This record gives sequence, structure tokens and C-alpha cells, in this order.
Amino acid sequence: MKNIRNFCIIAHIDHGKSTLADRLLQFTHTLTLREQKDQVLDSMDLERERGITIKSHAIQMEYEHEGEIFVFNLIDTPGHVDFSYEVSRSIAACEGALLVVDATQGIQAQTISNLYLALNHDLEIIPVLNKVDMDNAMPDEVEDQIVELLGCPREDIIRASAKTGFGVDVILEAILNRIPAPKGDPDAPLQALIFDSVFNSFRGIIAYFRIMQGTFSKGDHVKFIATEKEYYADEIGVLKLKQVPRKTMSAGDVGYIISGIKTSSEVKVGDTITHVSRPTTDIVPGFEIVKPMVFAGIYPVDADDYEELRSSIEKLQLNDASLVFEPESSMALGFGFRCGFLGLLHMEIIQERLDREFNMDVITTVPNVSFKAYTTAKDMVEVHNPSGLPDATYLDYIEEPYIIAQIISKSEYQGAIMTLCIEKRGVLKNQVYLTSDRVEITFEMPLSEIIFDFYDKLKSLSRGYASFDYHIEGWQRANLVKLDVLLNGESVDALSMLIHRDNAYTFGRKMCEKLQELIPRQQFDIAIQAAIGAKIIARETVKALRKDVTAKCYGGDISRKRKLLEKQKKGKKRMRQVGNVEVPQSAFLAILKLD
Amino acid sequence: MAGIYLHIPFCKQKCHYCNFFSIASVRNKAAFVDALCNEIEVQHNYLEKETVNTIYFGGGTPSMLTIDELNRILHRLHQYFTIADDVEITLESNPDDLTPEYLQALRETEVNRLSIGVQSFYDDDLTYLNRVHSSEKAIAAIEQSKLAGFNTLTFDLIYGIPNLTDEKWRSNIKRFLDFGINHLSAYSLTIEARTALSHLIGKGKLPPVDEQQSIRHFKILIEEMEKNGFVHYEISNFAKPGFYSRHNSIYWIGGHYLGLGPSAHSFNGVSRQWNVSNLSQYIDLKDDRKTVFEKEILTIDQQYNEYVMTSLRTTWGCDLEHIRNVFGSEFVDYCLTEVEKYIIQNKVVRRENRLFLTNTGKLFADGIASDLFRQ
Repeated sequence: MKNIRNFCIIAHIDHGKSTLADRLLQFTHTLTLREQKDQVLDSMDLERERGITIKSHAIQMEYEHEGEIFVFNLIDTPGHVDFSYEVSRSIAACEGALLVVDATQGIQAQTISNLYLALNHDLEIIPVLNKVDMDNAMPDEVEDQIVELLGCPREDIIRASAKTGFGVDVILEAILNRIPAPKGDPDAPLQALIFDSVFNSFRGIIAYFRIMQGTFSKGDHVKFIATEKEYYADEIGVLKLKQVPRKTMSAGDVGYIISGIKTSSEVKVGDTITHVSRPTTDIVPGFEIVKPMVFAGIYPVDADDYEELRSSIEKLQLNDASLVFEPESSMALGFGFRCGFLGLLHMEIIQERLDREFNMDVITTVPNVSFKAYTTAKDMVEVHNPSGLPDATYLDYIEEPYIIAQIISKSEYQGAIMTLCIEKRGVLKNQVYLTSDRVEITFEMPLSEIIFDFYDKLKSLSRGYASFDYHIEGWQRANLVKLDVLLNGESVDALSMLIHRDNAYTFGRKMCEKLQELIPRQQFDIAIQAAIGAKIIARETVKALRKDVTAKCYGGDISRKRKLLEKQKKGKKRMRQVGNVEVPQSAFLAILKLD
Repeated sequence: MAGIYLHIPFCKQKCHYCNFFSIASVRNKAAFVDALCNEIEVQHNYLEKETVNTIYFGGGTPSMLTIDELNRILHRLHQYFTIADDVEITLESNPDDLTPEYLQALRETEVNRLSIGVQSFYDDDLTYLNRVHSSEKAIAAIEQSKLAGFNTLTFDLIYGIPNLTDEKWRSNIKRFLDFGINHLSAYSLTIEARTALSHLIGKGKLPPVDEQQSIRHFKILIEEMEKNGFVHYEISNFAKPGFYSRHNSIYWIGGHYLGLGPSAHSFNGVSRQWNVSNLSQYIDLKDDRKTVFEKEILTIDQQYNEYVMTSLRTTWGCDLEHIRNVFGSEFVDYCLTEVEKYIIQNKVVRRENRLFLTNTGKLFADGIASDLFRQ
């Protein structure tokens, strides 16, 4: 056990985490240059393309020091706010962390929130200043930020360049010398933390664990404490580039278990594995059941693809237990699924994976957060869809989720950021100057307010400088109303939303204006109305198309005209019928693009 | 039925609304005629020995050709194609080219149908359109053409021009009727992309086109022409029975045609090709006796789409029996399902196994056709 080091890397997107991971693998001869595809740890195409790690993985390396072999387990962490719980579980499996900061950009919001998680778990932090070879690096200035943040001596910071390999040897030595070996009693009852799982089409769900206490052998009869399911360990082993089976593993080790698990929901990240015969009395602290916070309808463009969409989502769920779904139907969109996501990025990823991996053409409706509706009978109903709201006569009040949002930015954008957050019903909780020109602002605000154009606005008003992180804080009573959109008097269920009363009028008006732009003229006038209950609060009209005929149709016109009309036909086919009105798909997401 | 179209790409000046390929300089005219004669030879097998029933000189301004040039081209066509005895040969013309001398000489050629680009009898409209002629010239040209003995004449008129009030439009139609001519092409002014007109309207220098006005003009046109015994035989064309443009009808009933000259389109039932829209490239080609074109092979769906799109515009309608014979009954079933809502809306009627646009339906010909399309 004294020869094991378990660590993770904390970094902001694009600060070089994956490149550094690759270098560590290369320097420890875990993989040769030939095996090395860029960024080995990001195995999904999508991850590689976006340059971000969506799901965490783990890999073991061997490091030789003065003739002695040490085992380094690198536990990779997902790099986005939506996955902060997964990050916390990966951190809990480690004794140390590399804090990677881009010398050209400095500390970002996400770095800080993950750093706090690491410090809460008493991890040894090794600060690494990456990209020092870049022309626009500001090593001294960023070192100031790090010293300020960690209170560490300046000489503890390692200057490196993952791209060139500079400083990587120093980092490896620091992992050995500064990160403590795991503690734990191999003879104690088994206590292993599940920090991730993956789906393999031949072997089922494979769970990744870190043994905190005790010893684990192949064939053991084990129990997953939270799910109360029991299994026999068909295979256990360590994670090198491939899975390498082992007979026995003990406290401090990181590995995988295969036990014929069929559904991803049976493996909960953060759960504890123990022996059935000699169970531990302590679960690994910090376990939570992650609940999706953002919901949206996903519908097939072609109604015939409904069953195919279902099987595609089911397959995605095997790999991603945080995705939940249930069938729903919409007057406008037909049959589809209400899906729950951890956050907006998660939603985008699912949409893209459906498109790329399953070739599914889908319409995604306006997302909404999860609400708690309390009835006059004092019952609580979780509402994932505006149409699921209890009838107004039984509704007592509604609660909506609140977040703590941390924003780090150059101080010159502070005013604009505050204005934005206050517009979004935010309440300022704290502001701290990290250095003379970098400020950390903390707001409490409703989650629903960041769903619509918050990131984009934040990025544009700060010229891309502001970074943003959040975590769910709790629930608060909200003055919400249901805003409906009507086309020629028919309510379009897929466009209904729950919205704060103060924003309803502005939103309704903007919504009508946007739809007027997006709905093409048809052979009759189309009234677009926004309504709260029976009260119409905004109206626009799409004027009827009175003439749709080209004057000339001779030899030289026919081909061009046919192609144009074929394109129109294609567009019309993708439209959805609401009453007698044909609505293009773009209209269903109009709300996300309001100014 | 087969036709030959010849594109003569010269103009004295560009009309503001025009998006046809043309050049406001005659510098290369002689070289162009050589190249055209060369292309006649190169393409002489395109129609596979089908008899040529119609020849059409379009443009551009074909009346900028000299009589000698015209005769040379016609002679060349006779050399390489089988031309019907009763061939219809149309020449598009600009009123100010139609001098008595030119007309008399033209009468001696084989040209037997003259199309005159009148557009309007009001000079303010002609200015808006940037036409080179005046209303006075147009009247003179028509009278001279009749004097010269051209019995088969046709006019172009344009409606929906911003200054053209309903009264002025009625008066233009009346002037046409008073000449006793048997064919009229009347076009709704259309702002094509990348034309001077679209640019000038975009800049606010010229008033835009009013859709409601165009619709009123269209209705006035139909009413007046029908009252006077004309058949509305295609969206933009009216004729007394027996005076339909045989050449243009080939386009609408799916007939075969060979297009010669830059930008001209050819069609043989299955594939369509179009020549390069560039005069010097076109001329350069004559030396290596080749011609350069782009080509598309139409799928069965595309052939059906074209048939529906063009036939619906005509007085002969969309023939379901023809669809059954050429494309199969499955296409007929599809067509009937898709057209049903338009029959209910009284935009389309079905008579004797053909579909016809009603007068209201004619305003929506494109949208209706696209709904009947297969893809």
C-alpha cells in the first residue's frame, strides 16, 4: 500500500488536463507513442472533438524510482458544472490532486469550485502552471493568483508545458513525494467506493471502485449498500490501457468489478461495496442520488421513428445513468419522451449523441427545471412539464430550485455581470477580489434563469473572460405562472412554460415576435397569442400569403424552379401541424433565442 | 414535338428587372454567330432525328442580329436537322429595332412569328424598367410589323409596376386588344435576386412592388382577356384558339428541346443540360468543336415533379392518365391524396381525369405544385 498513489487532475476546460494525462502515461511508459492517440482518456469522439472529458475514467501507471516500482492511479474527472457530483466522488477516491492552471488565462470559476471540493476531502494539492511555453503566458501573475488562493509557498508551484513535456518529470516526482500513500486496513471489513461505471455490450455494466478498507477477491459475494443488490464478483482487476484481471485487491487499490449487471441504474456513483458475509458498518460518506434538474421533451422528427428513438435513448442510458426518461405525448409533436438531464450541457450532449451515434433526427422542446408543486391537500407533486401542473383550484404554491452561482471575471466586467444576475432574479451573496483585477462574485439565483441564454450573455458581456460554476442549493417558493402560446386560438402544448410572473409579459411579447419571424406565411392569417390562463397578454399576426406563383416558367427556368419547390416541400414535410397552422421546428426552440 | 431554342445574348442596355444572361456590347457578335453555327453542328444528334417543329430566337435581343446573320443560322439548322414544313419560327424583338426596312427584310426570311417587347404603353413605367424604347416607338413598331405582313404577332406586357395604377393597366390591356393581335404574354413584375431593380429597391431608390396591386392586376387581366375570347392557356400567356405558342408549349407538356448559345437549356425527357453562361468561354469553345455544359439526370420522382409543376400552369391541366402511363398508378394515388385539400379549398378542380387550377388557384401555383411533389 505504501507504493500506491491515487490522484486526480483539477483543471478548467482547455487548460490542458487531457494533454497532461497523456504525457504522464507516456513518461511512465504506460503507452508508447504509437499507441498514443491524442488524449487517450477521452474515449468518446464527442469528447475528443469538444476537448472536454464528459465521463470520468481511470488508468494505472507504473513509476520507477531508485529501483522501486510505484503504482500511480490517475482518476480522471469530468470537467463541467453539470457533473459536479461525479467530480466529488472521483475526488473522494484520491489522496492528492494536480491543480492545473493555464498560464495564459489564470484561475477560472470551475477550477476554484473543484479545488474547494478537493480541499474538503483533505487532498494534497500540487499546483501546476501549464502552458508556460506560450508567448502570451503570464507565469508570475498567475502564480500570484495561485499563492493567494492556496496560501502555498511559491516554490511549490511546478511550471510545465504538457504540450512539450517540459516539467512532466518534476510532476511525477511530486506525485511520489508529496501525495501520501493511501491509508486503510486490509483486514477490516470491505468498504469500496464506486466512482464511475461504464457499459460494455458483452459484459454488462462495469463498476469502477476504490477500496478504502479491507480486501476484495474474485468470486466474493458482495452487496452494493445503497441499492441493496447482491452479486458475485465474476471478475475484478486493475485499469491499465485494458482491463487486467486480478485474484485479490486490497485497501488503497483502484479497479473494476464485473458481475453481470444489466442496467445502469443498479450502479450508483458514490455507493459502497461490501461483503455480504462480513459487511462494513460504515458507508463511504457523501453518497447522494443525483436527480435530474433540467427536463425537456425529445420527439422524433418522423413520427414513425418513435420506437427507434426509444431504443436509442435506452442505449444511451446504459452508459449514462443520470439520464432519465419517460414517454409523453404532445398535441403538437405527437409521441416522444420527457427526458431529465443534470444540466444544459448534459442535454446538449445527449442531443448530439442521438444525432451522431444513432442518426436520430429529433425535435427538442423548450427545457424547464424541475418544480415542486404543493396542493391545498398538502401533497407535493414533482412537476417536470408545464402541463403536469395541478389544476389551479388545488394548487397551493410552487417551489423552484435555487443555485449558488460563482462567477470569476476581470473586474472591469463586474458591473455588467451584476446587472445580468440581478435581471435574472439573482441575489448577491459575496464578492471577493482574487487579485487586483480579478473578482469572484457569488449569487444566489433560480436555476430556471440560467436555462435561457445566461451563458451566452455572460460570455458576450465579458468578452469571453467570465467563467461560471454553480451548484444546487435548495428550493424556494416562487411566484410562477403558466404561459401558453396559441396559434389561431389553439394552444401549443410544446411551447407552454412556467415562468416568473414579473417576466411573463416581456417574455410573452418577445415570444410572439420571435414566432412571427419563424412561422412562414401561409394561405390565411395566423394569430400568435401569448396567454396566462384565459388572459391574452401579447399578440402578433403572420399575414396571409396571397400570391405564390412565379411569372416565368420556360426552358431555362424549369430546373431551378423545381429545385426550389423541392426544397420547400422538404421544409414543409418537417413542419408540425398545430390546428391548420404549419409550424417549423425552429419555432419550438424559439424561446431559447430571445434577446 | 421537338423544338430548338437559340439564345442571342446581346442588348443595347440591361433592363433593370432582367436576370437573363446578356451583354450590353455587340463587339463579339460575329464571333458569337460563328460559335453558334459550330454548336449547331456539334449538337446535331441531340434530338435523335426527331422532326423540329419550332425554332425560337430568344435573348438578349435577337432583333440585334442582321438579316444575313439570321439567314446563316437558319441555313445551318436546315443543314443539320430535319425541320417540319409548317415550322413555327419566333423572333423576340425590341421595338426600336423594328424599322420598316428591317421588317421588310425579316419578312423575306423564314421567321413567321414576331414577339415584341412592349412591356407598357407608359413612358414612366418604361423608365422604371430601364427599357431602351419609348411608348411611341412601340406603337410604331407594332403598326409597321402588321404592315410588313406579320400575322402572327405577340406582345409582352408587365404588370405590378409601382406607378402602374389599375386604370393604366386596364388601358394597356385595351391598347393591346385594339391592335387585334392574337397572343399576349403578361408577366407580374418579379424582383429577381442580383438584378439592378433588387439593388435599387433595397437601397430605397425605387419604390418596391406591392403584392396586393399585382394580385388586382392579375384578376383584371384574366377578366378582360376572357371577356375578349382569349384562352388563359398558361399562367402568363393568353391566346385566341389556334394561336398558342407552340414552342413554349413544348416546355410545359414535357416535350424535347435543344438549347443553343450561352446559358441555353436542353432537355431530352430524362436529362437536362445547360450551357456555360459566359460569352467569351462560349466563343472559345468553337475552336475545339466542343461545347461545355452542366448536366443533370432526372430521377423518376423529379420527372414527375416537373410534369406536375409545368402542366398545372396550363389550360390542359395535369393529366392523371399521363401520370399513370408514364410513372405508375402509385404516383396517381399519391397525387390525389395530396391535392385533396386544394380541391376542398376550390383552388384545384378535377375534370375528366385531369387536375386544373381555378382562377384563385393560379395565384398559388407554386405552393400547390410543391405540395404535390414527391421526394
